[in-house]
Amino acid sequence: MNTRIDKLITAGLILYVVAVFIFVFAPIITSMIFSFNSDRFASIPLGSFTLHWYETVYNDPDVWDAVQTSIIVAVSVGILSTFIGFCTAYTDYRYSFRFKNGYLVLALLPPTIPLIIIALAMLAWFARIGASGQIWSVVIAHTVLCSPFAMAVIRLRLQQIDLDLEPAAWNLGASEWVAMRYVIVPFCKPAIVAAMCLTMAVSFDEFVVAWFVSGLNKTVPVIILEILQGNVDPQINAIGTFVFVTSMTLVVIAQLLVTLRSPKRSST
Amino acid sequence: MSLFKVDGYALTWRLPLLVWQSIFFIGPLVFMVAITFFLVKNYRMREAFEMINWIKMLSRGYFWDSYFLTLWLATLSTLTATIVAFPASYALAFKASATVRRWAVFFLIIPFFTSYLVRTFSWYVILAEHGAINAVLSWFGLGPFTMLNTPFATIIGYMTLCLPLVVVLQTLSLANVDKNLIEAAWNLGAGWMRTVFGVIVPLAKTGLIIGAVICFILSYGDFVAPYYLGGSKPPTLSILIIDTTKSGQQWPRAAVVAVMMMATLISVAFTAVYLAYRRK
Amino acid sequence: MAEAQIVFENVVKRFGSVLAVERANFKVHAGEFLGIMGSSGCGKTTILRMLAGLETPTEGEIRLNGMRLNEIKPADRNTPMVWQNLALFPFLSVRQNVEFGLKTRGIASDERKKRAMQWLDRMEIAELSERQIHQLSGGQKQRVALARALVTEPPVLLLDEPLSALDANLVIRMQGVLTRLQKQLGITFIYVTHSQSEAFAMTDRVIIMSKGRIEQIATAQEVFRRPANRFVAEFVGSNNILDGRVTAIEDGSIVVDTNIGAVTVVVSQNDDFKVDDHVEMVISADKIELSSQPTGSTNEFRCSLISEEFIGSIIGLLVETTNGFEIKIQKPHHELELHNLTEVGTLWFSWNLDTPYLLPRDA
Repeated sequence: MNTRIDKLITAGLILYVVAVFIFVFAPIITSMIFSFNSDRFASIPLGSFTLHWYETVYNDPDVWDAVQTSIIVAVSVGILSTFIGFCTAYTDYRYSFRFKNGYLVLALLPPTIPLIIIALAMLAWFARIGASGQIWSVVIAHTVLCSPFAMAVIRLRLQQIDLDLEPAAWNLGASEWVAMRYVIVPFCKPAIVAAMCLTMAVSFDEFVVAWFVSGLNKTVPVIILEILQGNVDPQINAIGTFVFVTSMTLVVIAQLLVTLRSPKRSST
Repeated sequence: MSLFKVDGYALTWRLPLLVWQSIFFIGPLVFMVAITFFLVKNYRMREAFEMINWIKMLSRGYFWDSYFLTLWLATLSTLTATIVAFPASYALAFKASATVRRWAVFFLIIPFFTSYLVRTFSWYVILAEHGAINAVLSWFGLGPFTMLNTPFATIIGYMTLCLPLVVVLQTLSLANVDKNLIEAAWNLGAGWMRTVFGVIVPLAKTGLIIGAVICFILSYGDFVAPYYLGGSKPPTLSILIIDTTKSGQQWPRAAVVAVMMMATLISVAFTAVYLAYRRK
Repeated sequence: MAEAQIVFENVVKRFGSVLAVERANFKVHAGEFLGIMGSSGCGKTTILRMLAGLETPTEGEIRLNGMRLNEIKPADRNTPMVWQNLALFPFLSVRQNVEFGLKTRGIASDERKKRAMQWLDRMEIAELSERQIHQLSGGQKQRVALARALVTEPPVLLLDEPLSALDANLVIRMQGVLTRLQKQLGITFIYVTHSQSEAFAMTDRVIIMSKGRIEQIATAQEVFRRPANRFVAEFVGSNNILDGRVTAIEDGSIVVDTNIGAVTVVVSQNDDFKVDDHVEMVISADKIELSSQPTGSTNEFRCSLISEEFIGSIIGLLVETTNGFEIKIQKPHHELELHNLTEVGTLWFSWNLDTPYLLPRDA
């Protein structure tokens, strides 16, 4: 056929993909560059190289408080939402019952609702039940948002389990609890760790709901939002780079755990 | 039957979600609907059953301005993302090897773990009067152009949020299309356009629509892009919720806006699903 | 008199509206090697799973050594199973897999290790004890699964098509391992399979099932020569079944008008045949004589060869009678070669008067 035209189309498509990637990464790279730029107001051409903004961030006690809050929140959310996600994934894997569709909708619905709506609803509800402005308010809200992700990751792992593995454990004298302890949990372990990393990363980055319910216990993204609302300066880029590195570390760990395990499985 | 015949073991795994999501997810949403009928006196909310918040909000011109603006921006964002993403997804699905595709998807997921706020601020810098784009254009003697505080900038912000995800979803669904069917189409003499729009798009329809719906949901609810890039004149519904909640303590009226948003979103989602599966 | 080791009494199993097992009644004696055979979905695996406690009977009772099993949880029965896909724990080593059944029974780790190693030794894979499961070959995995099931020294071992994933050579070898093991241990083996050769080669008795119903319980020999009904006769595969009506009754024999012509059959005296009775007779493919010339026997028919198929040293022939009816014949290879039978256009087949087996007539 028309190989020359085909080649032209392919070349065009490759350029197009590159352009899309440039669009996606332009803001990330820009923010990293400006985090080392001396000018107070970002503009082209660039000023000189500086670590001033990192120093400012480093010396800001508010930022340190926020980092501490974020870590407490992220770790708690990671544990809680992974536990709920695991229970839900196992229920979906093991049981069928009436209203199961409703159960699954309840499990997977939260990410489909705009965060701003959830934020307002939680703000009002927490005020009502006397749980507003606490660090735990953010933990509770983020657990609602994150447990669907944990459920999805663990459910995918359970998809790979040999359906006879659990019955085989019962058959060898294990009660359901013992089979859970010695068969299901070890089998799901990489997915459980991956789910924790993923949910921690999501929590570490979420700002809409956190902004509404955190009160004085601000998390890092809420600090970013407040800087954005007030006197914007390149500090924001320094914090952003820090958040990026933290989240990426968690994601890479999660990714490695998932991919390092899979070649073993495929050889069986 | 099964509801009553559940043993302790089964309940242990079933209950955490039911309890947690009922108290902290369904509870808040139901309560939010309830407070649309509450009253605010002296900056405190009082239980009541009055239609006043609905009447006050829905009779204001600025609410409807925001409503239609939000709907229009989200629709525009969905169309833009779907159309812009498609050639890239097509290339990744059909021209790239499986390894390249896996890496591309991995890189497209990275942005979700960078702060969306910081990325938006970067666009602010790039699009500004003395920003990167105008600097480059000035070398050619062009500009400066005003890009900030325009719908264009809002859409750029929405694309920052949605485009990577839409490309990932489209790529995955296109990569799952049976290659034999495409070759069969070529074989039968279908042209390039016929193959793409007559064979590939219908086969990958579900994934394309899921991508579009997610893009709509994200753009519809986002307040960062329209506020910091679009200039918020007039505000979108999400900004309206924030303003109403944060400044006036008028939670009931913000809740009216939120309920209206939910209702609209549910209708849009159902319409999309209906369109996707109509011919099946 | 002591009751049999395993008793199934009117056992019914329904999954929703689907009847998986229909009124199963049978007994198994201690130390017996019992096969359960049938095509997929016939209910054979359901019987096994009910024994292991993985399914609960809808009706009826299952007893083991006189004790009702129905309500006993799988974990509290000592009825280990060798699974079709083996179900070895991929995250545990070979030895840890074998120790599993001891661990769940609270046996101390030294003792566990000792007993696991004994069994691995017995299965001739002691040197693999610290390997991971994915590092083993199919045959080695099979031995691990056996060791894991037998380490608790159970009275009964359940086997669910354990050899179906292995290649032909290995299957024969594992059949040897299993029969020897069963003899040495003297425990009951219940072996589910869809393979006739496996079932007939190893078992003392087989249960033949179809659509949830037990069609026959008998030794392999009996299933072959005296099938209980038409289903079993057809299932065994190498049988010809002729339908017909009795046209004449003589002393000690009857004449039946069948699809291929009049056939004379020897009958015993207590069989009470009348003219016009409907009868079904089974003629084993290996009991039919074949020649290139008519021999003048009583039941002799002219035919032509349609096709031949090699089944090892046996050749399966399909011939067609003059009225277009197909007959299966099996002959050793050397016998066909001797007479050059496959080269000839027209052939004659015949059988002895006492060869046909008359299927039991419905009451």
